[in-house]
Amino acid sequence: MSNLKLICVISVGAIFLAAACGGEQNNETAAPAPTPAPASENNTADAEVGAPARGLTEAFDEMDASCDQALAKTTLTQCRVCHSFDAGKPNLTGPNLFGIYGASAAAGDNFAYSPVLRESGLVWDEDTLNKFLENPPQFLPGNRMAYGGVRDAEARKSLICLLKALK
Amino acid sequence: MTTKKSEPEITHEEDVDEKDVSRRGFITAAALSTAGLVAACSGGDQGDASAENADNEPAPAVPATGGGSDFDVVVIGGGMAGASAARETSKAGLTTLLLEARNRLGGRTYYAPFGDHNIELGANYLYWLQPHIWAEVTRYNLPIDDTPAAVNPDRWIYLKDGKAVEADIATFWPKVDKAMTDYCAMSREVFPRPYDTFHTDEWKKYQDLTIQDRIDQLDLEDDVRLNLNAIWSIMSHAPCKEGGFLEMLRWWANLGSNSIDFNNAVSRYRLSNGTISLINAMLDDSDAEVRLSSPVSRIAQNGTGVQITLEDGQTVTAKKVIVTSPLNTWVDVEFEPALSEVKLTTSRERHVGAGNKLHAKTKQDIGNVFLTADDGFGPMQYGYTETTGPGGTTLLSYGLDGAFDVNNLDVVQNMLRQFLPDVEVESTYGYQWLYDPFSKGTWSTLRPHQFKLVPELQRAEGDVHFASADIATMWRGWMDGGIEMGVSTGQVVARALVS
Ligand SMILES: Cc1cc2nc3c(=O)[nH]c(=O)nc-3n(C[C@H](O)[C@H](O)[C@H](O)COP(=O)(O)OP(=O)(O)OC[C@H]3O[C@@H](n4cnc5c(N)ncnc54)[C@H](O)[C@@H]3O)c2cc1C
Ligand code: HEC
Repeated sequence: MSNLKLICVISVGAIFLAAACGGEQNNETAAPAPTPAPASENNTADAEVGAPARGLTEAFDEMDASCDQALAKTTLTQCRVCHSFDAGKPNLTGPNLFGIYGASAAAGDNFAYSPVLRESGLVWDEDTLNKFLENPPQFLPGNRMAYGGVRDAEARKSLICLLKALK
Repeated sequence: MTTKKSEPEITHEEDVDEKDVSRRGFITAAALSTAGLVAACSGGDQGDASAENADNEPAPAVPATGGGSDFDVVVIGGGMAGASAARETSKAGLTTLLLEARNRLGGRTYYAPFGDHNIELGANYLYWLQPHIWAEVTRYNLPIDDTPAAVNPDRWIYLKDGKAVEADIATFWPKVDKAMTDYCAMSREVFPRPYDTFHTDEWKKYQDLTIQDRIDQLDLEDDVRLNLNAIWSIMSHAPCKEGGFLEMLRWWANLGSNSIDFNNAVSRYRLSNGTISLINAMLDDSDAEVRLSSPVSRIAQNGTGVQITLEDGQTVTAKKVIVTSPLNTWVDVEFEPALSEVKLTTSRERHVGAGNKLHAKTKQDIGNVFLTADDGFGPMQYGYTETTGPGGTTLLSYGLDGAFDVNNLDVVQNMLRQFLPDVEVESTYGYQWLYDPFSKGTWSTLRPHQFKLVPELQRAEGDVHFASADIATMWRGWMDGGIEMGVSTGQVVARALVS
């Protein structure tokens, strides 16, 4: 057993591992049937499953009652192609977003952020999230989120509501 | 394996302590271990080989290297071109490092989970008249899916003056087929050997024409003209006045100059296990080290080798470098000495492919439809049913406006309602390639004046070689072109270094 495999297991590189294994990374509870992982003793994308973690289920339960849950859910489908949301889940194409509300930009673990986001000095609150999510390429030119944004103000509001409860 | 002199970039696993390592250190360690991880994950014994590499133990015998470079070859980019190039040089016995900017492999192919299934956010189609990729299908025994709906619609609806018109397919398709054939009438004279596009000088007669110029030369009914415009604009992924006529003529010649193979090639056959299955097959078949999340910012030659600097300041040296990053992004990397003026100017001008692609699911079963609009309508030129049933229809839609809000349910639903007034859209998603700094566009269609520049775009500068689908000869703009360039350039480099 090589040290390399050990690294696989402690899963610092879980995202890299997952990406390398062909996109079977999406193992969030709420995400329906990820494609079957290749039969390999080295596939550790599931390594964190054991830890009891908070995540989307709780956030939906606990989000402010005045917010549009259904809208948040549909809008979130797009983010889920690139982001994981449950605590401890590996990063996907984008960083894991558990606890993003109130955090400084580019502070997630083990994610290689763009220099622009790293040096933005932003703290994610209602205002900054709203502006960023409306039009990411315009708000932060040179950022690496290949996503045009959520133009609908109500949809953004519901999403931010959800992110607030995701902690 | 080359002896490494100083290698701050190689982190030994034993040194990595989960608790004390700073985040930055961790990123590095994680990124570095990827080298082995890729191999380890994708099965095969490379896992161990790479582990050995990471432990800096002697690797299997390789040709005499010398020169003190960290690697014989560094490949920049992990798409079809990069994966195939790295396989060639590695199989030739050269130590090879592949550096990929993103945290995933595949480049402009991306087989991603969406809802309860996976979708191809970038390239999906391949065909047996694409010789380079089909050789890989054969070699790795990759299963193929057929999606015949796209070439056998039951309804064809197009937008004319903002109104939906339903075509009688039985009488309308033969007219459009004839128009396509007439448009490409000279394909065999201009490209008697599509793998060698400069074989004769016939191309010179057409080098200034845009796609629109050629459409304007034909005497067509309005509705046929509109649909010819829709077809060529979506194939070039730009308004017809931007793309070069020779580009689409080449596709037609590549496909034996007929519309049956043309339609089959552009919308029918896919890799059953996704495009990533081919990328993985090629890298599994090599000992190349792969590092993800490693954007290259500088490539400097000093006469005895090449020094590659990553965005985070780490450096690696190599005897030769193969650049497979997209043409449109070359200007974002600092080259020392500077790239040729033609390469720089062309990268700055960009190829024209910059539109959108989206996957929509409707609530109703709308059947097997084909939707078209000319290039005056930005959101969609070409939309069609992928699968349909009582649970709804999945549609694939391609348009010219790369900034179209492909992820907005209402916007996409309103767009589709121009064709199908009652349609209800349940979900929609598209990856916005134009906004991704590592692609800055979609597939390559050159502008008229760029056609003759291809040999210069392909030309190596010293020890730095260029291999991107964007500058391929035959299937430029396709996965096949990526592999054409990766394999041929990998072989050129291997011959130079192994001899
Ligand atoms: C929406 C869409 C649909 C398409 N449909 C089809 C289709 O149906 N059939 C088909 O054959 N083709 C299709 N294509 C085209 C096809 O995807 C490309 O032609 C081909 O995959 C390009 O391969 P490549 O390796 O040359 O470039 P890429 O796949 O772009 O790979 C280049 C790699 O370089 C990396 N890179 C960039 N800059 C740096 C840097 N500074 N440092 C390190 N790495 C860097 C990138 O991240 C990328 O991974 C489509 C493309 C798109 C976008
Ligand atoms: C195409 C992939 C993709 C999609 C879709 C996407 N993101 Fe991102 N996101 C990224 C990437 C990549 C980054 C890192 C950007 C960088 O480093 O410049 C990011 C960064 C972020 C950040 C900043 C994270 C931090 O740690 O500072 C937030 C917040 C965010 N995304 C929210 C969202 C939301 C909400 C959605 C859905 C509406 C979404 N994203 C959709 C890829 C994506």
